[in-house]
Amino acid sequence: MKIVAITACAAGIAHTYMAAEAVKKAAREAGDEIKIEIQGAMGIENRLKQSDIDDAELIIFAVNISVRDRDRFSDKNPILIDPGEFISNPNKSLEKAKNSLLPKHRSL
Amino acid sequence: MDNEFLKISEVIKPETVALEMNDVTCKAQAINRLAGMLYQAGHLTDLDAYIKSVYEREQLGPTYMGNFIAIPHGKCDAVKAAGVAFGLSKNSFQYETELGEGPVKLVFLLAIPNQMSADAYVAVLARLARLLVHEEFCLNLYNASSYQDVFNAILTGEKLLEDLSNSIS
Repeated sequence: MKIVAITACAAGIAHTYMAAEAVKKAAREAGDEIKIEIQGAMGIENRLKQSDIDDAELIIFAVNISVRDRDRFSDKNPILIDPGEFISNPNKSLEKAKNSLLPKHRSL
Repeated sequence: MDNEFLKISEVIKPETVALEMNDVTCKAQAINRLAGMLYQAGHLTDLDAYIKSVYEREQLGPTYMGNFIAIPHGKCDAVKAAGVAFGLSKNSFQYETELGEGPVKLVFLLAIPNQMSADAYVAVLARLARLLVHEEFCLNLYNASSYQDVFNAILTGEKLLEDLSNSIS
């Protein structure tokens, strides 16, 4: 599955990076293709290209603050998951994000 | 962005690793113990000023990361050379912050010189945070019985991160 994710966390610098690593790790283990944008203390790192966003089958916002440049996702359906949850349970959280997506696909 | 910045494996030393922190029962004891090691190892000019900067940082946001991990840090003039102290408490102790608390077994205390750029500072933290997500890394630390074990765990972890960032954009 092609996945893009954004991580951002109010709690601190390190949490944002831990969440990014957790998403990356879970995606790698599940055999997914993943691109992650980190919205942290240094601004936006690894900024997603619009084409990455448009091609993604799953968009994850592992954030507990607002996403910067949210308009890039205006017609999308991002799945929101708490970054802390992603850090504690990377694989389960990814699974949860995929499952939240499924019903909407079915209804199409 | 990672490679130009400080690696944990480059600054950690035998004198700044404590594998027997079972007598530590609270956060203050852990920070005092690890800061004392950084001082003894020549990273600090003023122990009290450094500890004060660690607590000031604690006010800004939690350094308790969940999963038995805490990464307190201080950046101030009392740090003359960047350093990392690592403490292992197999029994765990309670680590309390403004926004929650939990049991901690692995503590990394960072000492960052004031002149280090904000980007480099964040990069060191980011690298450590990334390492700590990998269970293998944490397991290797839990099971460490010597400085060499800790050092090897960090080297292996850093290598893994490099491989990952090369393979996944």
